[in-house]
Amino acid sequence: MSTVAEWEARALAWSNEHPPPLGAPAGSRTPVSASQREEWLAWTREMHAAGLATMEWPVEWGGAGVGVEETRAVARILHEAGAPHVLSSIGTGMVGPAIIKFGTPEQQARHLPGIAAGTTIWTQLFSEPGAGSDLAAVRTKATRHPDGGWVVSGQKVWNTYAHLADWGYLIARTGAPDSRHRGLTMFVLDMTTPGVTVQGIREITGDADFNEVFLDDVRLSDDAVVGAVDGGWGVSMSTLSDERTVVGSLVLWLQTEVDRLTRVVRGLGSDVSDGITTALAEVVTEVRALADLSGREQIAGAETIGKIAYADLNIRVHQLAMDVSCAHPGAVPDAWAHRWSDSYLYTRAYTISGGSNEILRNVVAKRGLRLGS
Amino acid sequence: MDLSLSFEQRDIVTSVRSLLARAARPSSAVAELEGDSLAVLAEAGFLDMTELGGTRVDATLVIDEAAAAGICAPVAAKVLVAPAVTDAPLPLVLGLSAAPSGQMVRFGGDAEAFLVVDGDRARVVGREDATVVPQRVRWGYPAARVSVTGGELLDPGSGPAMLRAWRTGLAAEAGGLMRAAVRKAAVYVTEREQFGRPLGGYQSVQHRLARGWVLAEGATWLARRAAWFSDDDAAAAAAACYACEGMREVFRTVHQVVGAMGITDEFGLTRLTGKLIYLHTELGGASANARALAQARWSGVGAADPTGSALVAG
Repeated sequence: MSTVAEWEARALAWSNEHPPPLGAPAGSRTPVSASQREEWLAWTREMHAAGLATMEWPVEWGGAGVGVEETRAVARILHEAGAPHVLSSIGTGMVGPAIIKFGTPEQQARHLPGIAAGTTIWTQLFSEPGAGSDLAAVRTKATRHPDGGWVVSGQKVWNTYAHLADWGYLIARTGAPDSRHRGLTMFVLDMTTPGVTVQGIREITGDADFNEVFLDDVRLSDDAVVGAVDGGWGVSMSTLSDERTVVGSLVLWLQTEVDRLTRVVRGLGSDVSDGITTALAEVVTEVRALADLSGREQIAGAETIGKIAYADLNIRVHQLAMDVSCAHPGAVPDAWAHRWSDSYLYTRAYTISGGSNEILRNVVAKRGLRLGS
Repeated sequence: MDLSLSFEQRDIVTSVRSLLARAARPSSAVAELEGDSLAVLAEAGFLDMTELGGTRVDATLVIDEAAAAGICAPVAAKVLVAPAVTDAPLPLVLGLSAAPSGQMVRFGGDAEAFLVVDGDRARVVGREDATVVPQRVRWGYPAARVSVTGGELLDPGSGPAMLRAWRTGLAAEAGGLMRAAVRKAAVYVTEREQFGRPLGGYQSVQHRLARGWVLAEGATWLARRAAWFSDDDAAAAAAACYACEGMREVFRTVHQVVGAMGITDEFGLTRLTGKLIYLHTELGGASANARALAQARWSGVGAADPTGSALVAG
């Protein structure tokens, strides 16, 4: 069985031979042209073919069955090599694990090879204009069709990569309107199905990786149901838990940026203020502690605590990076300054997505501290 | 001590607000100079206030209201900073630079002239004597990297005077931006419901927005104080330091309570918060302004006295 060091070496060798897609700045979230999209998708498929995208999956489904340490080590190597965001990440990180856990053998056979090969791109269709933090308020309705199967109508929002996706991972209400979490079902949706309309949303960084998705009488067959009818809440919670576990990789990326920041500050010598060096020491320590905390399954609620801590620490690191860039503009390489400024804007997303920090703090308060009713 | 606005000052606020409400605004979310709005203010005489008998405090009201309206234009440079260093007529669109070379200057790509701090003296530099490289920034103002040669050297003391006025204007602009951002967030959380009630009904949301309001008002009042005591380096530095710290926090607060909607171009909050992101780093941000405050208030503390012994000695 390969060690972490062996996986790092493998990832380094691969990234040296496969530079990131041209024109996609490090950390880019979505392609901005058709040609960039094709190049980026091809690069993604090559990464999958090298076995670097589904390492933690079971071997029978194209993975290597490795643990979280190896996965994160590879993610860090790719990040340091200037890789853009991996377009297949929703498939590999959320949908694939859910289908492995809850899918039928037919669904596994149909979808997992494409996800493992990076040849199918997925989007998550959970949030709605009226159901963000309160996912149980989902109103997109799935009703039985007289000829069999389902008819789905509603609106989804904040759907990352929906504009690129082949398939959607959809949660819809199959129960009574007031059934809350008990009346939800998870479906897989071919995004080319008639009645599916995708509309882009441009956000604060200037990227348009988010979308709205409108579903107008979309027909789904019975075999589109993942798990049980009205059992979608449990499937979605498992997915959201996986989403929060992704934090572990994000912490390693943060560690890379903190290392870069340290190099800049060290190079400034005595020109840098005590405030900056103190703040740097604090974030270095906390990022290290968070990296150690991440993935510790024996710590109850580790993924929830980790997500809260990461989101707040991400802001502090990038605020400090901004402070250093502005106080010492000539000391920061342009590529780093650009990345830090883009990441600073995007820090806002991490305190909201996957469950806002406020919701997660409530979870910690209620389940961890037994506070409130 | 009467801190209330005079009748004339309330008139200034109402008039500026009403003028800007009627001015044409761009529909694009990309930051660009809003020349029409600047021209409207100039034609109405609001950018020549101090020459027409208005005070520097009056000037901060204009800056504040323009910022609150989300106007993207160098109002402070024209109405407050320029009159602080020269009586000579200057073009409408001015860029402010903290040093002669390699500075990131707001509106640098559009500026017709630059005011540049050069030690104890400021310079007025025409566009023809500047090297301007526009920067692709996603923040709320257009900017360029600017280096200047030559220009007209102003009187001794004009450098510190320019910095005082610039810091004061920064704080006034920050106050207006923060107030508008907090207000927009407050309206949203009043309407947006989750778990069966408006988000604004949750104490965690209320407390954060309340603190944001405090920060906005604090910056506004410190700016007015600095405008009143216009020769006081410490007052200006304090205003700028407080404003820079406040802008960081308000940016986080309003986006957190508004959620994903707030980071979209279409919602419009980023027209305000994009400016907070840029402005909170101007003049070195909170830490540089804090050091300036320390040096001004307790001269000898700072680079020359890192242990702060002069501070302890009082």
